[in-house]
Amino acid sequence: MKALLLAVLLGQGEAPPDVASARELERVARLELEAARSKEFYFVADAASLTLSLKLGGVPLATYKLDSIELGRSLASADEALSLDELYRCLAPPRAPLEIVPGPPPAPATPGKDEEKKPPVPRSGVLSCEPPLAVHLVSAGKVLGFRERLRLFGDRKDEPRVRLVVAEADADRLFSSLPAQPLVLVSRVPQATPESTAEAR
Amino acid sequence: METSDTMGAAPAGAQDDVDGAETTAAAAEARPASPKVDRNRWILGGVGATLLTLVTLFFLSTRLYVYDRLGPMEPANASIESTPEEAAAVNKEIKNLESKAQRAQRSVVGMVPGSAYIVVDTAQNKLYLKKRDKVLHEALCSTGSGGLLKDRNVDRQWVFETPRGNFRVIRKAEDPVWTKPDWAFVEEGKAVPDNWSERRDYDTLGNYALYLGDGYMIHGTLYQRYLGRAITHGCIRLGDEDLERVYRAAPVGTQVLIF
Repeated sequence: MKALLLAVLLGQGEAPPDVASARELERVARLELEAARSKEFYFVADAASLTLSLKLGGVPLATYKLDSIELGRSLASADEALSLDELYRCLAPPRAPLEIVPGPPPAPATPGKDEEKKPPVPRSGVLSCEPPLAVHLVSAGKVLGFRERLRLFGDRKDEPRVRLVVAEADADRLFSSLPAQPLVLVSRVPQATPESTAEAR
Repeated sequence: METSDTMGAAPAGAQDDVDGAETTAAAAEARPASPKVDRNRWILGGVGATLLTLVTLFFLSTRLYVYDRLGPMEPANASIESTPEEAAAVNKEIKNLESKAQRAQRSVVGMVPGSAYIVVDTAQNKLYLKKRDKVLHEALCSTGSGGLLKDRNVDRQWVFETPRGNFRVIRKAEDPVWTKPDWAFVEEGKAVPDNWSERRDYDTLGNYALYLGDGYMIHGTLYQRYLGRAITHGCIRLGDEDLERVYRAAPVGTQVLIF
């Protein structure tokens, strides 16, 4: 199964701000409709509310709090305008299952046996995408180790990066249920005012 | 003594080298290096170091990243001056864009099931019975352990994950009978029976089962104390009361979203 990563164009420098906001609103709505129709899991990373919403077919499934959304660009391409409005395909980091040792099942009323054995839950991950884009999911409490830094250092050069720093309290939940190949949509739509919300209803 | 032997075995050339070094040092002492040669060496060394630094910086520049924090788009700047015609054109474009956005948003909202549907959160082992955005019922459940079972006798293995995605209830049954698959015997270290009647289990699934396809279902459990934990072989287990509630509320065709 393939997955797509959607991201919106960031920074419409030329147009007046009102038009830029309206374009952003339209783009996010259009891309979300496309993601919802894809029948694949998709994330909406909202820079306004600092939340990461997991959805499937337009149905909100879970919301995770973000500490920050950061856009990273290679020093080699720092002067170039960063455009992220393409469709990206990405893969989640694999998790190795724990092997089960065969044996008789515990009696239903016997406590202390058949305890839950969860595969280790990662605290950070990189969704590598094609065309080149890397989405870094990092728990706020995670300090990157040497090997992880080395891996980031060795990533393809020049590809833009989006770093989503997940609030510590929500990190386990997110990494435990990270879909294999999610779509991601980054939104910078300003928070709706009460008036516009009422109008939308 | 071993030490003396080793020293004694040193090749004659080694002594020659020492002698040669002494000779060179003595010659250098006798004939001081010219300042011009020294300066050239410094220049060459400097150029080499600069080139090395530049190459390193170039390499690093392709690998190092700068990060900017993203926030919402800035609000409208009212100070921009424009003619009435320009303002009208801008307003028209904005209304057009907003209209398109609202149509898309309505389409997304319209995709949320209008009838009852089930959401299963495998990270928290919770099941929600929902209608639109309203939670009708919330229950602890057990989902797949993610464990790996290998059959040493035959080259095969199973990973006990609850599948994720969009499913539907394709069949329902009261007092369901479980036809135990091969892994159920392999896991217990027993031989897989040839006779299918030996595979039938009348107790394990509880009072009801909602079939999702490919052998996965929502059913009851003998292990109610483990509800809330990821310990199953991929099915979703519920407690007796929660199972009855979900069974009654979810007809065949009900959407089941598992994440």
